[in-house]
Amino acid sequence: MSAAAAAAAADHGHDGHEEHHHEESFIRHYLFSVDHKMIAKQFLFTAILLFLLGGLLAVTVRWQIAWPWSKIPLAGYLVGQANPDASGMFSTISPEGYYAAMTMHASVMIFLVIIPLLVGFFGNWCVPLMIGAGDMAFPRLNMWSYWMFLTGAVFFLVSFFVEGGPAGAGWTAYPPLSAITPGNGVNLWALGVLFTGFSGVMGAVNYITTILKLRAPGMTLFRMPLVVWSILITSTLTLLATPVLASNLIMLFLDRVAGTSFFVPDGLVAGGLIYSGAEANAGMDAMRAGGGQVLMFQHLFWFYSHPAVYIMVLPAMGIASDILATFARKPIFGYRPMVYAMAGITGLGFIVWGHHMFQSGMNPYLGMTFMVSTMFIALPSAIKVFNWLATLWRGQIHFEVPMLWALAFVGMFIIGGLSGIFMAATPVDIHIHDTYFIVAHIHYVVFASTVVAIFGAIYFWFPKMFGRMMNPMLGKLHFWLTFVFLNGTFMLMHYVGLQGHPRRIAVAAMTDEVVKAGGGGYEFLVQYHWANVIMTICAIGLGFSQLPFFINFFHSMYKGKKAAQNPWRSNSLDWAAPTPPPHGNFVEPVLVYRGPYEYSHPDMPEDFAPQHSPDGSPIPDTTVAPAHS
Amino acid sequence: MRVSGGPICGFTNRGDGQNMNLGRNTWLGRGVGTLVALLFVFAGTSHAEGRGFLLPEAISEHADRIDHLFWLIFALTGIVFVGTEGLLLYFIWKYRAKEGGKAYHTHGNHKVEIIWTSIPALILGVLALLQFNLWVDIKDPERAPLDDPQAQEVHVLAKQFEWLFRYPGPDNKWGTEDDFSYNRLVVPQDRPVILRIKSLDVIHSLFLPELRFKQDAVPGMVITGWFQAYKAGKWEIACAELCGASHYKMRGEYEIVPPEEWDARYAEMYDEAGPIDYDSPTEFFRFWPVDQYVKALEFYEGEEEGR
Ligand code: HEM
Ligand SMILES: [Cu+2]
Ligand SMILES: [Cu+2]
Repeated sequence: MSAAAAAAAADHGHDGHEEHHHEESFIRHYLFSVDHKMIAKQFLFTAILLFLLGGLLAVTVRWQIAWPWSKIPLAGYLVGQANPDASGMFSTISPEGYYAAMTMHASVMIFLVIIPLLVGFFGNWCVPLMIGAGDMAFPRLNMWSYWMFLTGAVFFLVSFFVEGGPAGAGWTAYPPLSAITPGNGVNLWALGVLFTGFSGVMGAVNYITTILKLRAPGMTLFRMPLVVWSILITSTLTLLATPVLASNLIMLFLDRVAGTSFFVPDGLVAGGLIYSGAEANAGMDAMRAGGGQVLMFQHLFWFYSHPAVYIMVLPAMGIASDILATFARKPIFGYRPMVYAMAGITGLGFIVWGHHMFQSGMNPYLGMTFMVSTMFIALPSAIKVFNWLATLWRGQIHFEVPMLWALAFVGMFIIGGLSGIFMAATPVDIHIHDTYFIVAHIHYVVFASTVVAIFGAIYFWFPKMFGRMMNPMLGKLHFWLTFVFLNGTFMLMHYVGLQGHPRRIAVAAMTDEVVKAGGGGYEFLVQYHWANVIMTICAIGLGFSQLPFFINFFHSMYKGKKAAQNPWRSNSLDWAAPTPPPHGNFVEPVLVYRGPYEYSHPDMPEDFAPQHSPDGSPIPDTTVAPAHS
Repeated sequence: MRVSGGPICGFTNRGDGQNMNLGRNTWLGRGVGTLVALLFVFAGTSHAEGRGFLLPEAISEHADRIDHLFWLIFALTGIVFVGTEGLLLYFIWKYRAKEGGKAYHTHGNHKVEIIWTSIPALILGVLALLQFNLWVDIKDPERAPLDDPQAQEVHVLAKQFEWLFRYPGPDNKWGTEDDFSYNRLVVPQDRPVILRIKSLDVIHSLFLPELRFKQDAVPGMVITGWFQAYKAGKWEIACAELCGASHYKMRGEYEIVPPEEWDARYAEMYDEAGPIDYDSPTEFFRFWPVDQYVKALEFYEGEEEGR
């Protein structure tokens, strides 16, 4: 037994794979599991369900912009609390309902879908398997990480049912607005984010320890797949940045429930309250003390949330790298530069947060420094793109479904990265800040890149997870529909944004109908209304494009073609484990002989050379039947 | 002044006589404009004249300089975009798996890494340097023409959900009888306009698209911004920062008045607003007392001299 497996087994006590003859109870196995693979699946299923919720909220938002105040399917169920008139299948929404939908769409997607999928699901699935460990270093902490995440999700979900509905102050929750809006929506939002943060930190500690301590013999740091590097680096970001967000959220929470004024300045007259400093001139008594700092929230928020956007893309970069190398049958071009680029992103990622605050009233010279650092953070991203392209160069590209997603990831990430340069340019950012241009940027990096890579990962690792293949026809249908509709939805956002379309407006075009209904929006946006209609139709199309995925996923779980142990003829250790991997992962101790990307080596018999194969020839499937999956 | 015409997607512009200067393109115009602007870009012209293909009309020197930078970045990123996406598609086609084919085994090349690291680094560095001056010219209050006798100062108070403005009146001095508040931003063409921006309640953001002007209004702070328009007309003010449930209604209007009409217009505005009523001051004077501002100004000037 390898040192790694031994360490994991010791941590398990009687759960060690040497003696898993006894049957675990259902609860122990499916609910309070400490097995990293089961926890990964828990994250996966929970996040996929929440992905549905986030998607429905997105359609609600888009629908309202294209056809203001019309009846929106399901809106009554979703944001009914924010909107007393709304109920049932089809209903109109109020402005409060719109802002609740918009805020919760972003918050659910970021905190409950993307980050948990990348780190919770994907990190958990891949890290121990890919480094040849029997489990995570701290299996029980791992379980807690899932339960903290679920608690956070429950706070979010509960907020849909409280009076006044969920938070509506944007996912960025800038005070004083977030500090003074009544109701429990923002309180529950803050608690929800706080708990997902706990979950993230617990995961981060676990990943870092596991990767540094439990690698199989021979698995040097520079023999690790880029996926593992990406999780190591992401965890470092999470560990260092999340506590700052937590402090921020706690202060916001106290401002709301305990009457403190961390973020509420003097002289405010808002939300029916008057803060000290205002009384002298308003002729009213001060009801609450002021003295807070508005911009401090933004600094602390972005000190976390800028690194968080890289938390949302680094693992996707790792996924794409591994899939590209596997299906191009070529080593990753420039493995070390890829690692250094990720490390560079991490370092720079901590000194660019101010680029979200260029127009906030922050000292312009401070803005200038942030501009320089932001310009340079585009560099590691560029290096990565060049290396991906060079990986494809002179390869043998097999267009299996995971590869389609990985290729799309590269193509779409280029767009998101390039639009970043416009906003990094402070003078240009003056015009495009808080317009749809930003919304386009976000969605090209987070949806078109990260979610696309996640789909690639699901198609890629599904055979290992469930022992069955996903249907490639449905997979391709899912890919092409998603690809077309996502560009239809997000590309035009650049255009209207540049024309000055502000983000976060419940009504954009000030048409006659809108004026009759009470006004809102802008006259100059009437001529771009066609674009909003197209985007909404594509967004609805994008929603329906996910149907083939859901059908494929759940059907293939039970009825898919049986998968071989290493269906993609890949090199990394995860494919050395039986399919599906048993508790403890590896039947025999694994030793690592080479890096993960030795594809098409001229001296090797095949076009791949598994990391654990002494002479590089493929190793026959493990025959020992796993006790349970 | 041109009013944008034609039904668009079944909607028409509000023909309510407000005569907003919105002369943007119709369907056909948009198509032709797209082609022309593309040609402009590729001919090396970095500034789209007239109506915007990607950007709204520009009416100030700041706006022009921002647009120049925009088109420069557009050209640079455009080249990178076409290059990288082109290579991606080419490789996908060229290196698709072939029967019996074998991929070329390489782990990379030190030289090309250095090349494709240093060239973008250089470009990004130069790009960063290029914009220092423009950024500071626009945002640093020390560089704003505060002492220019021609400068027109206006106070902006943002509140849920409207924009309020205050003028020093015909004598152009704050804290005097003739200060008045007004509900639209009306300023002279060809003269520097100094804005002092404040918020009463939550964060708002003053967005004047044609001037490429945007500045958050932050409670607890008075933020200075400035511009100088070279074209007269009427446009819309947007709020660019989520400020509550009616954020989408926080629309305002701004008007640039030709220099020769300004004095008459200013007097007219003053008449319309009337002198300050100290017993029941308007919201603006109530929530942002002018003597408070004057005191702060005096204090600041004293500090300056004391240095
Ligand atoms: C190539 C490098 C990148 C650069 C130079 C860049 C630059 C910027 C800048 C300057 C902003 C602020 C714009 C504004 O509010 O005015 C911004 C916003 C944003 N970026 Fe990036 N970005 C880059 C890559 C990414 C990546 C990889 C992600 C995520 C995976 C990302 C996610 C976001 C998000 C979510 C926002 C908007 C936050 C909000 O206001 O809601 N960016 N980016
Ligand atoms: Cu950022
Ligand atoms: Cu607003």
